[in-house]
Amino acid sequence: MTIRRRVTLSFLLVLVLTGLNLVIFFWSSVKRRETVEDLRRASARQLVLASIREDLNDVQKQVNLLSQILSEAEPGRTDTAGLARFSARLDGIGRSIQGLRELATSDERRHVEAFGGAFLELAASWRVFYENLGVRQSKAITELAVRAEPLGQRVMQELLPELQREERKLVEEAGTNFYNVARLTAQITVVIFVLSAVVAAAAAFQLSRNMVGRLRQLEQGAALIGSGHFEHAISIEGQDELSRLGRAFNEMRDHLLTARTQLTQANQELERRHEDLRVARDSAESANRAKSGFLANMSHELRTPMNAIIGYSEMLIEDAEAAGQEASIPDLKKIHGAGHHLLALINDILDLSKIEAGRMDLYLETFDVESMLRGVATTIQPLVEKNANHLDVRCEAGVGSMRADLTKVRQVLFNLLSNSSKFTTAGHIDLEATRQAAPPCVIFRVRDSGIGMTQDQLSRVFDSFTQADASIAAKYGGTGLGLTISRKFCEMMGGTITAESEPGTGTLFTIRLPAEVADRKAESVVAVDSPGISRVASLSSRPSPLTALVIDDDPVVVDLMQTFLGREGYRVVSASNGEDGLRLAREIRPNVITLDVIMPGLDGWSVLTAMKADPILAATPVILLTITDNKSMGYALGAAECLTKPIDRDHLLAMLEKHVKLTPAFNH
Amino acid sequence: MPKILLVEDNELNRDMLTRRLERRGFQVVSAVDGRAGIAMGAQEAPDLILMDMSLPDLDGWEATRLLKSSAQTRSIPVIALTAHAMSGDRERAMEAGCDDYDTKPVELSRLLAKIDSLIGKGGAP
Repeated sequence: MTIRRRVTLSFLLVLVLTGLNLVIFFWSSVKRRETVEDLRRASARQLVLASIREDLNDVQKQVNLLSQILSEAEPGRTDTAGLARFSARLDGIGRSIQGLRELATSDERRHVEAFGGAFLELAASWRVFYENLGVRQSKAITELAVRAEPLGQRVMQELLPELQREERKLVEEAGTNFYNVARLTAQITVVIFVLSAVVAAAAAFQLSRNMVGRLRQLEQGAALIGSGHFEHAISIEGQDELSRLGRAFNEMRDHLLTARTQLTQANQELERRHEDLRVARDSAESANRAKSGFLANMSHELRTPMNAIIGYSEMLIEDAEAAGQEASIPDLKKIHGAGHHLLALINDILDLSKIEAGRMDLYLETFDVESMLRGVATTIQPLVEKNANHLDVRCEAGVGSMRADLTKVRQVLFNLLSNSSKFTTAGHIDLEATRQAAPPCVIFRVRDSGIGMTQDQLSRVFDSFTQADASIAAKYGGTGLGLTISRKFCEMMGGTITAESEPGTGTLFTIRLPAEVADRKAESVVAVDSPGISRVASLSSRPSPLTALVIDDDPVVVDLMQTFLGREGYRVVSASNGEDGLRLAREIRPNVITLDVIMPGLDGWSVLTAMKADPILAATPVILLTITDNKSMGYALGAAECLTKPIDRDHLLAMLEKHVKLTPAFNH
Repeated sequence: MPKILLVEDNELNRDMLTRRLERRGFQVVSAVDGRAGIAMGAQEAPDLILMDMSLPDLDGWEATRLLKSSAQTRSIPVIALTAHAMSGDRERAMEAGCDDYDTKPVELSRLLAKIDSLIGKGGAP
């Protein structure tokens, strides 16, 4: 039986009992009213009886008096007026008896009628007596009176008292009735009240005992399930609402259990995949290390025979010149030149592989900028003149000295100048140095009036082995690594190198180096490639020592991150949607990426998945910024960290410290 | 005739440089590794030593240090030859006690200028 039905039933039972009580109440009040009416009538009758009795007594006395007077007097004339008064009095009594008859109950009516009959008889006797008062002899009249005597006796002594007794009896009966009805009503009311109370109490007790126990069971069950004890089932009895609730709980538990099982499986699957990825990454890293080592060794091994080729070709040129064998000299010079070119390539590769392996060190010394500049200009002069170019060296007064790796600064300038010389014919090349006060740096500019580059070429100019055009390599020579190495060197010294160009008008390279380069180990660059991607391809440069890419559609967050990260010395690049974010990430190869999850279009999860699937970006630490607490999903997709918005600055910086600054170096 | 000790493990390079120096009027003796270089340095008392840095067994840095720590050979000027003009090679060479430094492949005119300046300075015959 449902709880609802049980409560309804209890209510109905109490309602029936109350109804019964009401019926009893109405019955008893009717009864009481009836009894009161009886009593009222009885008392009225008693009053009437009393007056009848009095009147009868008076008449009797009058008759007795008259009979005594008459016995002594002589017959006289008839007293007509007295007779009329006498008759009227008797009629009055007769009317009273008639009234009594109307008031009488059916039982009583018999007695009243007997009394009435006797009275009429008596009244007739008396009337005869009175009529004969003046007419007859006193003796005769006395006889008449005597004859009426027993009748009067009977009326007065028997019938009237009998009637009065009857009346008393009726009053008593009515009183008893009234009392009985009142007592019965009270008893029934009490019984019904007690019964109602018992029913209500029993219903309440049963309901509460039943419900409290089961509610407690439900509560405990829900708490257990809530705390993860999915094996706990709530026991179910009956078919009522609580049982249905219990069943619903159990169903929920089943669903949760299924969901958890699936989640666990999914997690295990993800962990396995994560492990696979880690293994793949480790093997890729070790393969890269092996490749770096191999390249370094190979470069050394390649260089030794190159020395011989160059040396012997020089000797042969000398011999030919001495012997006057002019014809073979150009060919020998070609061998010599090709040897030099090959050697330059090998050297550049060695440089890059050293940078890559984190074995390129900085040797800082303080040197005079202007004399360094003059030295470079002197060295490059033959190359400048080769294409009929003119080199202008301008050194701002007061540039003074700087502390940096002299060899590397020279090499960078030499690379840029030789580049300009190659791509400029009969033009101008400017080499310029200026000093900037805050922050203290020295700025070098190399400007030419050469063939220039398109935006597309410009965007790839610092990439390894990427000359602006493949045909250019054939035409102008060069290893294609010079700019890459230059950028690496600048970054190692905490500086930057940028290029501006327009096709046909020339190119401007700007190098910005700290006036006092901080003494630190060469920054290692870890790019984790999939095994299929060659190491060399990953040697491409990064734009600045530390770049952070902020992908967020909320300009406030972008602004905030710019402030946070800018203060920490990061160069901050931002993208307002996932598509741009991915594109920028591939373009600028940031050191760290912060990624908002909820964005219009491509959301954070998709961006993260795409990044982790991209061999170029897979190793870049991604810090996921979420509003929701969905970290496990983030970690499962490969996020380095998951931060919940609003972003805690210290937490964010700690994460950066962990993932960016401690990027492991290749040490061997 | 100034005597130069060339310490070089690669046969081709040794032969090439020996012949080119001899053409310029030097007497050249050679050693193939660091140990032989130290021995020859003491034994031949050359006017100058050209020391390749990447040598088997005992490398050029160590050999130079040993030569410079011996009273007998301390005064002989040493020119370090490194395969590649890496930053730091020069500093390392100077630190090891070399008097000068040049890179391979040897640009003969530049090397000759360095040799001349050192032999003149070192007071060799």
